Amino acid sequence: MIDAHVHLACDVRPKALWDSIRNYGLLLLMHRVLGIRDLGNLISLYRNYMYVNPELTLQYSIIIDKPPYPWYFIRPVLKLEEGVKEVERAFAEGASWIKSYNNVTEDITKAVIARAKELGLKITGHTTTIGFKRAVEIGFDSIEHIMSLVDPIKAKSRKERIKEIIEKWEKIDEGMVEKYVKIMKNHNTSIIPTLALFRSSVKNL
Amino acid sequence: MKKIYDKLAKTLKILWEGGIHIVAGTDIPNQALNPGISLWEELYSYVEAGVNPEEVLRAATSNAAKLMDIDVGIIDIDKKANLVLLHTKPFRESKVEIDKVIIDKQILDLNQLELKLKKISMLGYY
Repeated sequence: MIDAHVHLACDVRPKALWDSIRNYGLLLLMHRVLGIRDLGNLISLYRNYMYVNPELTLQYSIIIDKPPYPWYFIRPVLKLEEGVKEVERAFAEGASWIKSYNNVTEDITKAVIARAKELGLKITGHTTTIGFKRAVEIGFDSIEHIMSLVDPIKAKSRKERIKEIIEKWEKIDEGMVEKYVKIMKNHNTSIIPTLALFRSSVKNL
Repeated sequence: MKKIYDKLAKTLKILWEGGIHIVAGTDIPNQALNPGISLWEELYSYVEAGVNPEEVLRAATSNAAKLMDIDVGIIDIDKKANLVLLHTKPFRESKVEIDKVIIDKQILDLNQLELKLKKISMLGYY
């Protein structure tokens, strides 16, 4: 079994890190999860997980974003050239994926995708700023979260963003989803729905 | 907000039936998600959405392997035969009972698996 959307950085406080990695590693193994695609993390954790389970297949990504940064391990990308540089750095570090996060603009994302494709890296991410359709058209290999199947989101704060996404989803009908199918098929784009995440949060939405 | 969730679930079914490459992922350690079991919950949510239980495992096996360009998740000639054989039908029955595990060309029943587990000090057997 493969879990294709994981953040392996759990409790990174120095004394808790190893325990949390061990618990994570064993829980994954117990539930027959032998493959992981990590989507934004500390690459240095890779070896720790390999120690817990040497059979684990682990792919990791570098996560890029513009401010505000929600996670400490995000690589800041303010300009187009910085995006290209981060792709090259990710390649040198052995990452397989670039994950474009909420605030990355289309011009930077396009430059990132172009360089990533040259180096054989794949692109995934949130579609918040550029919108689902453009993300597919400009070459995302996969889209994270089924909630991302919406037009660009203007709100900046997390709370407002969720509100805007919900408003957009209220207007989506079956006909629109059929169009999404066509767009994604034309570009061979995958989706990682993370439906259980939303199922567990229904009360909080 | 259940209405929105139901719409997401319906969307997933349309995407699946439309032949979109759907790959299971959990987003652990986000809220209420735990390593390992959450992947099964993710797959169960697809079944709940109306995807055929016999097909749903693909999202966490062959589909995921294809996305990651790795040579696992498929039962075929010349592939590694690392398999878990179950007595029960996943997502159709509430229990998941392991019959045998095939790994590195060895077929292990539950007793043999137990012995192997006891050798892993981190599990607390010593």
